[in-house]
Parts: sequence; C-alpha cells; structure tokens
Amino acid sequence: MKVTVLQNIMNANDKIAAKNQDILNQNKVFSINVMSSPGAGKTSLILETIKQLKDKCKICVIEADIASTMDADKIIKEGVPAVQINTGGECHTDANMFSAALDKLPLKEIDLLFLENVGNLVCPAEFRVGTRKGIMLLSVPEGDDKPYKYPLMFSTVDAVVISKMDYLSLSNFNLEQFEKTVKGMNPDVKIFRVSVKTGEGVPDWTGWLETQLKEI
Amino acid sequence: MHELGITEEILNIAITKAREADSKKVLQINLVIGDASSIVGDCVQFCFDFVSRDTIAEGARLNFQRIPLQMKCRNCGNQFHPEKEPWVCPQCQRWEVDIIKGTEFYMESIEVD
Repeated sequence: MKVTVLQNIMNANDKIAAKNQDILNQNKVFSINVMSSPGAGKTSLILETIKQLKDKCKICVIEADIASTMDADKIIKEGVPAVQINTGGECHTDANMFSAALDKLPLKEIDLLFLENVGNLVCPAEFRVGTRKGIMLLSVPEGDDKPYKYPLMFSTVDAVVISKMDYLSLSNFNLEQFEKTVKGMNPDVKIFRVSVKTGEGVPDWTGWLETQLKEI
Repeated sequence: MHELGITEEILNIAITKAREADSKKVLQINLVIGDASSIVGDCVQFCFDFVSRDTIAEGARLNFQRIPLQMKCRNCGNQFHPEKEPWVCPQCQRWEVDIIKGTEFYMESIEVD
C-alpha cells in the first residue's frame, strides 16, 4: 500500500530554528551566523569586530567546532563571553545545537550574538539555525571561482565578506568578476572588501552591523 | 557529511507515517532530492541500513528521484537547465539568474505492508 507523505526532511530542524529566532527576537538580540571554509578568517573578523564595537554594545559569541576550545579561548581573552559547541564530528551547527547554546546565555543582556559555524561551505548552507542574518567570508587566497562550486551558500547569505584583501596584489583574484557572479546569484547581497590586518573595509563592515543593531 | 542526522529524520518520518496508516512494515521510501542539494543518496541508504535496525523500517529500500537544476533569467525570463556555467543565461548572456527548481528535499511517499 502506498501512503502519501509530502513532508520536507528538514522540517524538524526548521521548526527549532523558527523557535530560536522567536527567542532571539523577544530578547532583542541581533544574531549572525558566520560561515566560511576553514581558515578564511571567521575568528579574526569576529575578534576585530569585538575590538571596534565592544564599547558600544554587548557582544557574545557561540563557537562551533568539531573539537577543541581554541576559538572560544581567544574570544574570552578579549573580555567577551563565549560558549563553545563541539559538534562531535558533525560538519555544521544544526538548530538543536544552537538552541542548547542559547540556553546557556543571558540573552536579555546581549545586543549582538555571533555564531561562528564549523568551517565548511557545503553543509551549513542547508541547516537554518534561526539567526537574524547569515553571512559568509571568502578569503582572497581561496580564489574567485568558489561561487560556482558552492552556489547554495553564495545564493542564500545576506552578506559576503571578501577577507584577506591584503593578499589581492599577490593573487589572480578578479574582484569585479567575483562580485558580478555573486550579485547575479544573489541580487540583494551586501559585499564587503575587508582586511583585518590592514584595517581596510573594517568600518564598512562594522557600520553595517551598527545599522542592523539599531533596527532591532 | 551530515547524512546520518538526515537519515534519522527520514526514519522518524517514515515510521510516524506508517503507524498513522496502521501498517506494520515499511517496504520502500520514496524521496525527492534536487540536484542543488549536497545529499548523497548512496550514503543515505548506507546510514539507513544501520539506523533502521530493529524498527518496522528495517530493510526498507530508499528510492531517490533527482530533480535537475532549473534556472530562470531575471532579465529575459528564459528558463533553462544549466550545463557548463549555471549562472549565465544562454539566451541573453546576463549573469542574473535564479534557481527555480533543484533545491527540493522531501519524502514523497512510502510503501507499507
């Protein structure tokens, strides 16, 4: 006997993500899911953002890694609370893990919450967690062809940060072509050109965050 | 590699729907997956054979219907299945295209006894 089902496989995850989003909205927390491949500079961007904004708003970071607390330790050194999630081999953070981390945080006291996702351009794009915005970093050394290889990630994020801009003169990275490709896939996306080493583009990025914070 | 978590969800849905239909055995599970999804069918079947042990879905066969990527140009409205460069409209050559099909991932039906 055939039984019609017609049910989305991601339903269970998406329901928890919607609940997480409600909890964050009720507590007026502006939250961002930060995604990229390993080594693109997620932690460095978050650390730089903390330096620039920690006197203006209360920041907190959820660090997701397959193992270790190295990234959370770096954040705590900057005087910002961090919660480490070890995904235990999973390649992404799902809504359930994010929910468990939220339970440990004093959400009423937080203005800006970063989720630093597991370094991976594939799986995190498929799992909503319930943050207000999703952003990704693509570092110059990774190359400008990545949108073709990971279209789901590039076409679903709210902003793309081109990181390690200080490497541009050493590479064949075609900025105009890259930005045209990304805008073609995702016309509403914001693109930032950033180097935390030289400070290039950092004010644009933090300015965007401050605008978002005011809107919440 | 997140096939294991997804497979557990597939098993949950299949068992719930089979019980609702008062059936004792799940024989087949028909899934629809878009080509833009990173899910690998063989991996899901492999995981399924483990997670379904000692359940009413043990031994069930998973059938995958793949949905090819279909794009639509925002400039000229042309709909096409991409070949080499999926983000360029073959008609007007503009880089302004959206995915309109190929991101699906759902359970269409189950065969039960």
